[in-house]
Order: sequence, then structure tokens, then C-alpha cells
Amino acid sequence: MAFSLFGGADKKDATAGTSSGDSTSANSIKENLQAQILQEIALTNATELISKISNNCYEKCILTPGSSLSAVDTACLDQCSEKYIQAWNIISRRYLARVQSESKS
Amino acid sequence: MSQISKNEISQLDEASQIELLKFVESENAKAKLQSSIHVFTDICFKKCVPSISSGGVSPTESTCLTNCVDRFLDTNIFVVNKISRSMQK
Repeated sequence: MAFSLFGGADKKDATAGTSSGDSTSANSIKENLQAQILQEIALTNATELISKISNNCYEKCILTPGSSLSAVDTACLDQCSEKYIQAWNIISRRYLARVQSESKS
Repeated sequence: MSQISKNEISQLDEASQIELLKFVESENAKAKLQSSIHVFTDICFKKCVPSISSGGVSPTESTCLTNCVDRFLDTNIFVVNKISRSMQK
């Protein structure tokens, strides 16, 4: 699944310049910092998504906690996570479209 | 990957420092948007997905999700206007 959230592609783009040239040390320090910042943002985002999915899907799927996760539980968690990520993408698209249209007007 | 050190940043020329500052500002703005998306998804998933019957989001749920963000933002604008009007009185 293409997943811009984790910022994997962005980070590679930012570090690509460092490895090839390393012409000036200022440039490599700068690019190093940028890559580090992008990585931290991606990590924060992933953590937030995991926490939200856990909360929402636990609530929806684990109605009576048993001694272990049943096959039904894991099937539900699987579908629920899938659904949540799709919902995230739908909302992201809608919100960004609205932010853009309102900043124009 | 090494940790960011104060020493390294002070070694940078002014142009690079300004570029970094701009980079941080723009990433910060993006992070704020993403954090809002997390909040909206949390609210709207609870409202629009009553039960997990299949893996994908159904067309009905999808419509509900988009309406959910739109009306949430409308509500936000409404409240801002109402409060600012009452503060002017």
C-alpha cells in the first residue's frame, strides 16, 4: 500500500544528495539534519496512527476479552485496521482539499 | 544517525541556517495538518463505522466520512464566528 504518512520516500530524497557528493560539510550537516527531522516526524506519525488504530479497533473488535485473541478477533482487527487506514486517507484528501480551497478564497 | 548538536548548527553559514529554518517551518505546518487529520479520523471513524463487517470502507461510510470532516469544519467556523460576535458586543 502506498503510504505517504511514514514519509519513507521523502527521507530518501533528502539523503540522496548527501551520499553522492558530500561537496561541502555545511551541505552534509544541513541534509543530515533535514533527514533526521523527517525521520522523527514519520515516527511520530506512525506512533499516533498505531495508537488510534489500537484504541478504535480494540473498542470495536474485542467486546469481551478472553484468555487470548481468537481467530474471530484477529480477523476483525485485520479488517478494522484496513478500514481505519482507508478512512484516514479519505479524510486526509477531503481536509487538504478544503484547506486549499479556503486559502484561495 | 548522529544526534543534532548545537556545534554543528553553529558551523553552518547563514544561508543554510535560513534554509533550515524554512524547512522546519514548512515541516511543522505539515505536521500540524497531519495531527488534525488524526483527530478528524478518530472522531469520524467512531461516527461513521458502526461495525466491522468487511475490510474496505463502503460507499455509504465513505460519504459519511467526507460529510463528517466537512460538517466538523463548518461547526468550527460557526463557533468561531459566534464567539467573535459575542465578544464584539
